[in-house]
Amino acid sequence: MTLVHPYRVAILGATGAVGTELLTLLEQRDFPIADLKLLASARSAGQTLSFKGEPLPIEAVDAKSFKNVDLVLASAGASVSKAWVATAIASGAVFIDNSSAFRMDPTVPLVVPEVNPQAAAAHRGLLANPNCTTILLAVAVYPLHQVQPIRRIVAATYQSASGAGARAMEEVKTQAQAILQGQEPIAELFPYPLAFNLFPHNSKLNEQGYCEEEMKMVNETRKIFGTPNLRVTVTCVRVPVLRAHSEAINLEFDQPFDVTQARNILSKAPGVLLVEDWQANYFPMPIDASGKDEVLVGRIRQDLSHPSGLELWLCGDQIRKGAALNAVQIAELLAQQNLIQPSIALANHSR
Amino acid sequence: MVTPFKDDGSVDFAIAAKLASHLAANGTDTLVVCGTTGEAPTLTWEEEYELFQVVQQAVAGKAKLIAGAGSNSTQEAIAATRKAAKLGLDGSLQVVPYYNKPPQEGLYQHFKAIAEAEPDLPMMLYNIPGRTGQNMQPETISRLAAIANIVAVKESTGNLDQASEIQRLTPPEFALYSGDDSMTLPLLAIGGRGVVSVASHLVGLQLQQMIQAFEAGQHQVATKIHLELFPLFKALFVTANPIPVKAALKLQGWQVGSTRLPLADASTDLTATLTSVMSRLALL
Repeated sequence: MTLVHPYRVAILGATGAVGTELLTLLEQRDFPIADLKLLASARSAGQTLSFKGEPLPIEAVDAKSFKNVDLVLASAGASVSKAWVATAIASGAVFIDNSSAFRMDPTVPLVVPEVNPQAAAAHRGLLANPNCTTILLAVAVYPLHQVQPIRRIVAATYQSASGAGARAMEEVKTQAQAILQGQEPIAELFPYPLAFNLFPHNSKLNEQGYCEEEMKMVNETRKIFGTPNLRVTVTCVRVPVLRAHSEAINLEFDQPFDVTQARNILSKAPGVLLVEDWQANYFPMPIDASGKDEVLVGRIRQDLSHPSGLELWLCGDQIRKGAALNAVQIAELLAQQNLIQPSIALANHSR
Repeated sequence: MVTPFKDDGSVDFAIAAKLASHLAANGTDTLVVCGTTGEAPTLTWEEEYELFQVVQQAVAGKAKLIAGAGSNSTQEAIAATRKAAKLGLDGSLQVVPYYNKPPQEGLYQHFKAIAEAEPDLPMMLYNIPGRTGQNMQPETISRLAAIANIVAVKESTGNLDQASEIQRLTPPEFALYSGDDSMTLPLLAIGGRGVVSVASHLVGLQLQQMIQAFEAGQHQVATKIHLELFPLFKALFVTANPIPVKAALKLQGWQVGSTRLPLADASTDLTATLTSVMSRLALL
């Protein structure tokens, strides 16, 4: 992979779970960096993080933070992204946003590099990183869609605590300890105890009873695949797993899709690791997916209830491929095609 | 956590609250209040209880709180632990009785009595023969680990053989914590859980980075961070803790005051060393 020249990069939200993963990935994948700025809230200003064995100070983000920056990788939440994207683009930076703020904006490319890399070229200074569950689904099923169009997706997610941050993981562990000691678990971050329990994703419900997390998967998948009429329905559930999301996926095609062919395709698909040991009954698990770049896919089988349906099971590290890694891969894609340049048109974003 | 003092030597509870908040926001999962770093030997019990309450309020929901509630008198330790439990703190840190050098059986009876006095309060044992004059043997730790609410040991022997023995003789859910920042990564390699840190006053986020990198299998990244921070780790123990860390915090502008006698202030040499090490780590 030959990249043109080193870039001046800023990570917005450097101290969060995704922020620190971005830092690790930039180092491990040797992204060409001329200068790296770590931006966070004032609470962490003056603290340091390590990059390539050297300490880097964390700065409180302000209007001047984006001067002399070519590329911003943002994962500090939707309101922070909304607050700073216009300033960043006006300063000449390209902004890759991991938040949900601009994903459905028609002028903003929503990119999974294995699926729709060509969408990145249309950027006007801002690109969006899809939701973790969407990315994992897209990487796993797009290779099949390329062979025969998927007409319908029914998905059920099993989402881990770390999807809500490092504190959420701590909360589950504390609750588990409490329960094992015969005490009442305390739920602070989540509305209910998550240890030895599960609950439908607690994001806001719409009029039809679907929560935001579920609608993200529906709407983002359609945008990424370029198939606005793709029928998608989802149930998102929080489960007491620490890291890595899992998804049970049902796919419907017009014609039967041969299972062996599907397995073959997925064994060679980019970003996918086929985990199928029928003898040993060994398939994707969160503990195996954690820390891996690939989405683990397995249990591929014929739908018993529909002649042209397929069932499959996937696990993916939602902080890596579901967030930080996908963002870094978008950056690498832009760098390869020399698309990290000051944008000509300013996108109109309201605060 | 250090205990900040005003110019008149009294505890500065306002700064304590600010510092606790700051630490919780920058890498610290649990604060140990009124431990060695907190100058427990020269605090009164009244000052300690007020500190527990002030810090508890300051970090509520953001970090857990462990009370330094040990003593070389079993009765005193039980009394202090009872008060910590009543405040609803998350655990107690119990040091091996210092100076009176109990035999191993005495150590076992001591910690057992404290654990049984407050069976719902988790306890972390603290073994630091360099200060106590007595090493708690791995076998003793192993016996104590069988008691339900004795859940961890803070190991400050600097001895990897002892740490390995402890790991061999205790169940996996019994946690081994490093009591020395420079030993954290080596102990993680043999299944250690984390560190009860002094350096976290300055580099909490990087310590989290190091621990998480190690646990994610990124050993080279973790080693790079350890080696980068190593000069700081050593500088903070050049003389008795917390003299160096208080000096370091003051260099950053924190009004934490001096240490109480008999701990003398940092020498000019120490301040110069800290300035140099901290500048190179972008901490000043």
